[in-house]
Amino acid sequence: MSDLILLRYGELGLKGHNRSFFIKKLKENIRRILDGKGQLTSAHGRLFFHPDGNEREAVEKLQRVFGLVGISPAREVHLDMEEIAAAAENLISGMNMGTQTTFKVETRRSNKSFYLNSMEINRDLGAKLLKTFPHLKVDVHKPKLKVRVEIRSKAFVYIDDKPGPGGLPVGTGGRGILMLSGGIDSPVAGWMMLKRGIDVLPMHFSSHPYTNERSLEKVKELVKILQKWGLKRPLYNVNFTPIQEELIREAPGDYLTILMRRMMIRLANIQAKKSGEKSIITGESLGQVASQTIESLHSTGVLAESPILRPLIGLDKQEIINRAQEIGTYDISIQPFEDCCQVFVPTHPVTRPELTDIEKIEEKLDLDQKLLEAIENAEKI
Amino acid sequence: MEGIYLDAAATTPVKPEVAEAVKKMMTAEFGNPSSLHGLGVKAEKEVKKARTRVAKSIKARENQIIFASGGTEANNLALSGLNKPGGHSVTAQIEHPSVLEVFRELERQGQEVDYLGVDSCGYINLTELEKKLTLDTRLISIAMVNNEIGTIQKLEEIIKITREKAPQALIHTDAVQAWGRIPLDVQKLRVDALTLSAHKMGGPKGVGALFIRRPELLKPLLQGGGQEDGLRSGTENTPGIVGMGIAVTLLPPRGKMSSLEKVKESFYKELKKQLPKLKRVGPEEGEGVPHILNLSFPGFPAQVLVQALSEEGVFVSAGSACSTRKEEVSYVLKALGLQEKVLRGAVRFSFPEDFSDEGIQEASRRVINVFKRMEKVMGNV
Repeated sequence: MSDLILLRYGELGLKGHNRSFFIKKLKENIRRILDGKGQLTSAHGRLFFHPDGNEREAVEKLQRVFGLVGISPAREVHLDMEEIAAAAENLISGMNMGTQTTFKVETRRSNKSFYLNSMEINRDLGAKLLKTFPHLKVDVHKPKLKVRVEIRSKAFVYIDDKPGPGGLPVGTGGRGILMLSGGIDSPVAGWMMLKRGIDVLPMHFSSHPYTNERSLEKVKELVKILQKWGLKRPLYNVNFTPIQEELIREAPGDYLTILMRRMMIRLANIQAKKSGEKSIITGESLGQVASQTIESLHSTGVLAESPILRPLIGLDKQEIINRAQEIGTYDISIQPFEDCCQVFVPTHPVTRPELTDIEKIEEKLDLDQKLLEAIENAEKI
Repeated sequence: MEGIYLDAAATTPVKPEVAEAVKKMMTAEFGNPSSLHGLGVKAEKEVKKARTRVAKSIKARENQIIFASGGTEANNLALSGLNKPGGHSVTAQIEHPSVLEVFRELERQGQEVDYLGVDSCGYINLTELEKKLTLDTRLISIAMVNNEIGTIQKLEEIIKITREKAPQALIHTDAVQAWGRIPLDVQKLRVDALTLSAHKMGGPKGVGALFIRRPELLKPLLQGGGQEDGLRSGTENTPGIVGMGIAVTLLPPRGKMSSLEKVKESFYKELKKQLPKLKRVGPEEGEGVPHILNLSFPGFPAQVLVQALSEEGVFVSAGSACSTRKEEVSYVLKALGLQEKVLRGAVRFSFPEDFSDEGIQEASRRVINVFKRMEKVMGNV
């Protein structure tokens, strides 16, 4: 058990005037992801989290807070070398180590009034630890164990230094709509933009009975995972059925996919206006399927009234899968229930659609009212 | 809107008397039949009563009934337990996976297995059977009633041919869909083993039974405490077994099944009047089991139909309930050799024993509505 968890943040330290805004968001996100448990304090480029209860669980959750780069359970002691040494000894005894372990002490002294400087602290503490633990050996170049000391108004001692996920706090990058299917790609795209600080609105297009009821359950599960990574907003479930039925009825089958995607962008535009979203996020990866050729991307891109962010555009399928596994969405995504548009995928969809052809087909459709209604009636889950 | 359950071949609701008996065995009479004390003796007596009831329902002797965890286990027990290394076996392409997969495993172990084809109504070809049988044939397994299309095999002829051509062969039949729906009498029907499952006829899930004419021929699947005369080790599932015993006493009388047959036919006629494109899949009128009706709407994906019907509160299956999760045409339907269009549109309606004339009116109204809507949408698919 440690006394507290030392949190370090990276990039946002560099952001000048915005810094306090970033830290405010970061703190909000920590509180939300930790379900309001524990206490959060800050001082000089560090946050301190005092968990109440399960420290391991807290560390695990903190590792999903974007903006954090380091998470270290630490001991907090008075500015006293004896206490510092006792804390370090205690931490080392709690670790499971082999017979011979190399170590070094690393000190940061931001409180210059302490009577020893960093080098002196390293030497003094190192000597004490060597005496207590005969199996330790000093190695300043490649130690297996780093004993870190920070001298501030108090002293903090820690060994364990877990990496944070990096990125920027969710909510510092504006708002955006994530077009979330039940597949592998779109949750990863959402995760990547959450990581860059976007406050994501996940939007799913349901077309029951053309898709299975279970596919919505799958999307709900995916949203739960994204919530663990800082997603704040609920799932918007848009009933796409009336639009899809009109398309099935009126449009040539080989254009169906591209027309559906264009309708989805239009729906996103309507929602963006309504709730002030500044971007549309998709899981498209260039060339992965017929609807993801440059021509197809162009045909949806021209409709978007805000930038379309495609964080996966240059990734291979395997790279996306690896990421999905790391995030924890993969096992949900591969459950075999079709998301939007699988049942009616044409055998030979157009891969290089001409915009003029598409527009000609759309002239015959009268979907404006249905689009508005679909957004108006979207269910928030 | 009240739901209309037309998926009785998948499972049936537990009857109240059964539920009561199950609860009693779980709470008041929870004893282990192997225990020497009073509670154990009581439980043993209840199990014995259930065994007698199940045996009587098919005119078997008590020592010929082995309780197991359901149809799948009973099929596995029969086929693995009666099989001898080497030799030759015969089954049909349309058997349940719990039969087919056992034979595939036997094949991997070097046994020769023939999988008989069926005609467009689902009957196995008796001439083909005759050709395949040899003096080396050890085991044959043909289900009495197919679960997807309701074909009743001509088992008496199959037995006759087998006894002539392959006097060594043991004959197993999966009677899960037959029990309670058509007469079952193992004194007339000279099979060597027969599988029953409780939940298809108002009993609980997780319990079934194997009839075995000569128990001394059977090898057990499970090693353990020697319950069920050493043929099925493991503490008896007393609530399930007793529940199955009560379900037996509530099996519908013969007359009820012939009126269900009439109900089914008038349902079919009602639909056919409104939907002339409708195609019957499986046996002709009057030939199949009373509770199963498989209908195809050629060109309409069955899965969408099932989901659309579900929205209207009508619960049916596409293919068999076990194979809907795989995105392929059911192998049973494929074996019928019908057009792809017809196969993909096949929906199974299976009627609970108490389904009545009023039920038909409402059910057919809803079904017709759904199909008319689908026809409008997908007319050009």
